[in-house]
Amino acid sequence: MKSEQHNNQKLKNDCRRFSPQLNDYVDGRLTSDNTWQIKDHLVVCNACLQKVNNFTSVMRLLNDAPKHETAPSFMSALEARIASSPAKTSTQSRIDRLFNGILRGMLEERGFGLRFTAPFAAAAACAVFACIVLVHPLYTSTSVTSSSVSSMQSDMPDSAVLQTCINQHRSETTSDPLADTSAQLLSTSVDSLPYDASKNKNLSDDDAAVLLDEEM
Amino acid sequence: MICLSLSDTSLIERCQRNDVAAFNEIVGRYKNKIYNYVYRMVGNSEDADDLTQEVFVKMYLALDTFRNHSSLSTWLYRIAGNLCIDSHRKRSRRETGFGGTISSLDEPIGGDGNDDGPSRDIPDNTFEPAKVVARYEMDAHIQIALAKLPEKMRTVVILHDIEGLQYEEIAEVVSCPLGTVKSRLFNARTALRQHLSAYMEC
Ligand SMILES: [Zn+2]
Repeated sequence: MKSEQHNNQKLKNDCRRFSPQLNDYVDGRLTSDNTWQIKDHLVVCNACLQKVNNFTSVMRLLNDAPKHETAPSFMSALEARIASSPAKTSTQSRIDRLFNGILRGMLEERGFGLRFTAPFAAAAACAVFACIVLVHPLYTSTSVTSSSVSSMQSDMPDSAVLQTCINQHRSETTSDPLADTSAQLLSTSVDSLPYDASKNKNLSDDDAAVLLDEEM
Repeated sequence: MICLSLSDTSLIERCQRNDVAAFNEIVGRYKNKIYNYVYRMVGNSEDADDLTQEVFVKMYLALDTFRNHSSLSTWLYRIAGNLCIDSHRKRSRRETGFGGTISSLDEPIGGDGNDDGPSRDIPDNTFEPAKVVARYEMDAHIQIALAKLPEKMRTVVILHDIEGLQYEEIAEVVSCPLGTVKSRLFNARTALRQHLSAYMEC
């Protein structure tokens, strides 16, 4: 009688001790010592065994549940959404954001293939320059780390060329805007971007993968 | 150069330099995982599609703030989780209940003329109608059971039992101590076992 009481007490204590570990046990996260202790306990404790079985069956059911996947139009929809999203935020000034937003948009549109044509993009770029130069003659940017346009290499990707132009343009707008040669270079650079309409129609995942290989 | 062999870290670095191909590769790597997670959180493909796109837009806009002390996948799951919770709040303000589509899953599948239903999302190459129907039915019941869980429990059990994340990764995604993750998983599995009792063999 006394030993039965003792056993019951031991069982209770073990339950309290092992119960929080049952998920770890099911998920195979315990040391082998600990695993064996629980295995021993499960032989004598129906309540814990029941929990383990429940956890295991839920885990298996969820594990086997069908995996849902994105629709084929996902990539093209995402591209359009990014192109129409506001520019990156952070510590940039509003003008800076506007400026980067439009130019970055143009870069993306080329890469992602929106339906903008290059001349339109160039016109937009010129308009933005004009606005910034006219409205904000004192517009400065302290974060310019530009390498000069003249140091650009012919094998630089278009996006890098544009970025260099933009950086130099920014650094020069404080002095004499009209003497800024980078703006001119930028518009010619944008103009010369090849516009490939075939790339731009409903980019599917497979197309994107092909594009990816081409562009790398 | 081939993007496919690059680590997430180098892809992010390329993205930060406006490399579109690297961005596409990241999206390609994670879109289905994130979509499946979001689908299980919100319970319908329309919202899941919308929110998954939003995850990658947010990622794109926040690229500069990404630091390598967390992994890309953790970061994306965290963005996704927050968006799901936000959208749920907005939705509950508009309507009551978990969402319109879920309740329709109680109806027999396939006979409601809803062409945009499960068949669009679940590729199944076997042509055994009974099996397919059983699978859809089970999927629907899983979804209903998940919807009954509080969001915090739902997040943890989906991330662990469906998405296959480790406890430690989940702790990072939901910004909680490991112990909290464990207890949420414990409670979620216990509750799911009750909700899904008809589908359990034991
Ligand atoms: Zn026990």
